Amino acid sequence: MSRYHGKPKPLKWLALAAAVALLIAACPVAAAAQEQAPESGTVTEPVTSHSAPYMSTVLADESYVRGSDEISLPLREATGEAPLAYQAAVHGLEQEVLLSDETAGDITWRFTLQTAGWYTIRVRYAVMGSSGSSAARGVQLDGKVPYFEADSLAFDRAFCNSGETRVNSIGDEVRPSMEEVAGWQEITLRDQNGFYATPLVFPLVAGEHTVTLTYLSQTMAIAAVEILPYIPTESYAVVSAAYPNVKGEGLLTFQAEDVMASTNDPVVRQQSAADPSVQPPSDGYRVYNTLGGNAWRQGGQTVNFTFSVPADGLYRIALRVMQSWNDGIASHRTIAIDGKVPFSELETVRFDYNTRWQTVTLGDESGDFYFYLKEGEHTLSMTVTLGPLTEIVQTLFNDITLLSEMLLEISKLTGNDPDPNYDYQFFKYIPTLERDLNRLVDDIQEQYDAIYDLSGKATSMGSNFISIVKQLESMIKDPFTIAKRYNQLVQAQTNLGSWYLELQSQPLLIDEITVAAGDTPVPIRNSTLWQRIVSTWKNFILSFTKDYNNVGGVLDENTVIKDTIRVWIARGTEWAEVVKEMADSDFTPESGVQVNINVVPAAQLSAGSSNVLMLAITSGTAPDVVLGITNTSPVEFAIRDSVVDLSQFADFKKTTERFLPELFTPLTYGEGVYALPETMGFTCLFYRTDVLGKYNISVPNTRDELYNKTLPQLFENGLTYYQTPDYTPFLYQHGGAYYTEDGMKTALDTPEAYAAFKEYTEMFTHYSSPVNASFFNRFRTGEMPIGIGNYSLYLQLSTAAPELVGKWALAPLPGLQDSTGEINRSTGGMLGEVDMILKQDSDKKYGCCWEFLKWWSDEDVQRTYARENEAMVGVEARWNTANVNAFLSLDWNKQDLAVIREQWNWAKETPVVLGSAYAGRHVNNAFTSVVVAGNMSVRDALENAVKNINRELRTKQEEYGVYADKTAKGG
Amino acid sequence: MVAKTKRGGFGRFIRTYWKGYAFQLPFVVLFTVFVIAPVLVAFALSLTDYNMFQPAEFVGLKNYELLFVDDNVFWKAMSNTLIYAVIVGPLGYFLSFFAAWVLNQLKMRNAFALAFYAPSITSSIAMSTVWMYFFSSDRYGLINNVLLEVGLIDEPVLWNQNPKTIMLVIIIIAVWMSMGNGFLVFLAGLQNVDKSLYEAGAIDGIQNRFQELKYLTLPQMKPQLLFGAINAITAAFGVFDIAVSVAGLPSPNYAGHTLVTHLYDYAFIRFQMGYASAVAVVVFILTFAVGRVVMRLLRE
Repeated sequence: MSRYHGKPKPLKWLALAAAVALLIAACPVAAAAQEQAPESGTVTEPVTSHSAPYMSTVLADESYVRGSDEISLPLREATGEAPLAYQAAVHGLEQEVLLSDETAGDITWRFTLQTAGWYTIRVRYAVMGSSGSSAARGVQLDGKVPYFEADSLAFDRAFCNSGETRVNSIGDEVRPSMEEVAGWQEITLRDQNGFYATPLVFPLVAGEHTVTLTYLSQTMAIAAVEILPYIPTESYAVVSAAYPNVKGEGLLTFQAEDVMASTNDPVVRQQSAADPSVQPPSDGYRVYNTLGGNAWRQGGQTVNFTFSVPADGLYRIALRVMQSWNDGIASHRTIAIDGKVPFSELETVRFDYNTRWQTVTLGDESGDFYFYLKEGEHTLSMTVTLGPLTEIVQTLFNDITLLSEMLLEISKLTGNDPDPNYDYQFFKYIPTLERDLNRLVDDIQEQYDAIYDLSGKATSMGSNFISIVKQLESMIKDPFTIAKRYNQLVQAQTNLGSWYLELQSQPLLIDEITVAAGDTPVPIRNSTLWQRIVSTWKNFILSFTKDYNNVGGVLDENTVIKDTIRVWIARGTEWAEVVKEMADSDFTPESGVQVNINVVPAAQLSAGSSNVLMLAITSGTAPDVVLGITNTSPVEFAIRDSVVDLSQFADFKKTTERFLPELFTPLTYGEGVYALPETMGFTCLFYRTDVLGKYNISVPNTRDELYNKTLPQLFENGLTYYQTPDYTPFLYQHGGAYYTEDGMKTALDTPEAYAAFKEYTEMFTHYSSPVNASFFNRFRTGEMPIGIGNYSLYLQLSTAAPELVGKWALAPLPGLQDSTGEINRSTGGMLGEVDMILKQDSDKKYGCCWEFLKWWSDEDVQRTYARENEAMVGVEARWNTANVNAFLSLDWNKQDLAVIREQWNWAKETPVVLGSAYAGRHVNNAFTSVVVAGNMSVRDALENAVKNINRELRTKQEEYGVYADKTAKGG
Repeated sequence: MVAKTKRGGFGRFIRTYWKGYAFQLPFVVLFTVFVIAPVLVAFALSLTDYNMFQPAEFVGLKNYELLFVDDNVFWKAMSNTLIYAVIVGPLGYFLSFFAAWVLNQLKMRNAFALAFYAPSITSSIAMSTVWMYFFSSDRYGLINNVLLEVGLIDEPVLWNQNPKTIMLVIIIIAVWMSMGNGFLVFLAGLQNVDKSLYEAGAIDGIQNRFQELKYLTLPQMKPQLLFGAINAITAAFGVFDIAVSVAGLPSPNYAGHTLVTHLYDYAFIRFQMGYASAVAVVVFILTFAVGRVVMRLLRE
């Protein structure tokens, strides 16, 4: 079936070797060719994991020297990529400050050091704009990145609760949203992963240096940059020796959720815990009685608490916490008082895994720590740090990178489809393989031991490490089986990757902070079995009366309500709650329209299933507005006359300007437009920069380039291209269409459609793209270093493939070049979910519904929603809003956004016509007949599909009387 | 006179047996409301054109005409369903009886019974998910992986996408799942057989287990065998969940299309309720007729 096959490759080498031998025999000059033979892909370069090593590795090679210079770099002496801009009076600062934005680019200072030593860099900054994202900059010294961690640093914003917690209409508490505290902040540069409790340290020799802040994202103002000597924190023994012997006063308990002053990540918020021992107890309702939890797990996230003590003196500090997420693995925090870690023991404080609440008094084996606190207000900061896990995580990362390079070498040797019975002689053709396998075995075993020591028991993660070690060992013993067990290696890579992420997660839920004077005992509270039974019982009883589908509201009592609309949301409750909160605080007070929200599982609203919305419409209980419904539904319902035509509203035209015009194609039927887009995605070419670079494979711009250059290059190296089984791009690029202009017949009987279908099926029959493959997994291993993917793949790669950071990129789809040289990159599948208004007996509420849709699709509202959503669920829930401006303002990578925007120009959506819901299946059947079953010619299969689609269309046209009308008119 | 006696007879009959009927009442009411009434409504709807939004329109036998004369997919579904029923029905039936018979003679049979019954109480969608691990179409699927390793195939078989293999996969999963139901009934039947009959049989010269099965066990188990057969047939004609979760709806080239998926297609994807009702009526009559035939056969 396939023309390009990996298997005969060893034969090819034999042939090559024979050729070389012949050449040597024939002419002595050719002896040089022997040197070249190994270069044809048999010898690997030694593996390097990062562009630079870790800071810990760099510092391990140096010994600490205390520097003595304190240099404040003058802002006016900085040089940028463009002339630098300065501004005065930013956030109330008199002084003139330097603006670091995309045009200024990388900003460099020169400075001269008098004494050599270890130095840190302190920056006073303010992140500008209201995007809510941290700024990112890299640091280079003397023109190069000193170590991996300096590559990207976070300059965080500060956030706090925007108000008080309120109780909604169904008795649950509603958290205030997080709002930014704009203003100046100071940071001694530190790594953004929480690897180190100390700041980044730069060993420098005396003399001339340059320091560069490389621009990565977000504009910020810089008020000061200082080079300061690094001074390690003293130990408790040293610090406590200087304490005055004064006992403090009182036993003070603070609720963590109440005393949080600020955080650098709005995800870290108040949480609700059900355990009856937590104060205040929840009793079945949602009560925000704790803080942090699983959202507070990423390295670098800081929470600041404020509390006051009544008198000067010595105090002890106890925290009531729970860490029940990571099986057996402790979480770590760096604790600072009033912005400074008081003694080195607090750089890494460990909170053990326990499924129950624990009260941890800060201290060590020799006793509790005392803090000397002056009368008045203090700040306690807790920052997520990895502590002893850092080393494990870093080694793990190196292992994953090593493994993925090994996988690539192996698949290059065996081809895409390894023959388990062929002896590839792995250790001979990949000389480094045995060494690397051994290194992996040693590393992973070491990490297992380290995790075991830390947790004191065999965790589930640990035992998985052992099974990988066993697999690798048996591969070393019997390399013949590597081809057969390639999958195991892939699985191992996936597992190591997820453990790499898992180990970095350091969740901690905090209930109370207790400050106890002197030796005052800290009370320990735990729920009894009886309390838990009572609490569970209350919860159970409540379940009979509480309506869990209804989303409670928090409307201000004084709001005037003129009308009420009912809205269904086809998303999770958390999503709907944010919509409700925003509507109650923003939309209702302004418009006087109250919004009642119910949550409906998305699967029950999708077209083509027994659908609650359909049933609601037929029984006359349909909601007024539906958010998040599948994009073919509006026209389907419009055909049945149950959706409101939005184009009747006066400002409809103006509202559509918020979206890409092409998105309305599937929402239009006849003259009417029946929905507004809510989300949108994109389809692009994804490729691995490292793999393609290594084998010198070009990224195709057109499909001719793909067929004639890229594919042969890939096959030569045993790699594969991923083509989504989707006919649409081929059809549109060839200039075809699914339906005729009037939507009465299919247009798949045109020569363009045939040419497109032929090319599309040949992608699978001729170029053997796999019909069924997990692109994400094979992209990670490098077997499929290039292929077509969409928005969800983009999210997956950004959040779940840590080893690929910086190793992949986007390109526009390889298009079809026409005779004029223009490249057509058309593709469909942009439009995500949509919002529509349903018809009711009377039309008096349509105006309110339209106002609501306008409000909801507004740029600011969508941006706030995106931010709230990401803050609540994390970046993996990034809201891909269809509002173009809001979409652009999300935290995109510059190059990626350029590609996405290029691809937007080529958006082409498929119209929905009477009976079109059944067209897709016939195209799929034609594909199956040609590619999978292989029992039909391309032409027959397509003709068959045309016949069937026309039949389906006609049946529906007859059903709705359209067919009869048209023919009558025509006749 | 005659009428009077009759009424008196009826009155006495009611007075004597009303308690029995009172006990029947809940079942009769529920059965009427949820089974008989819908069947009758389906019959009525099958004579109309009804799309759930507009009122139904009487069209006579047009739906049936379209179904039998004009709808190729219906015949494809019919042939798939019959193939499925012919294989899965009897095979499941005999396998479950055989399993019950063997298990009945073992120790710890309750534990084994649970193991056998577990698949049928689990939702078929969940079970298909488990099975799809075996039949996954890429080369990481268990069966593909084994076949590739042994060297029987060069590239992965697209089990649930290739029209040639879809039915096979559905049948394999269905046979395995269908064993549980009949099995439990048969096990109960086997345990009800009077032990003394076997003693008597032994005295009368029965020589081995198979003779015992033929002359004693089977005749004693007639009611359970009948019940099991009817169950197997209704289940076989009603195949839906497995087909959809293996091959999707609609399946590639309608290779996994059955009568009930056809029904679902028209009812909930196309919203042609009249037509869907016609399919439902056909399925009903078919199941009923085959059920009668099988009962007749087994009685003899």
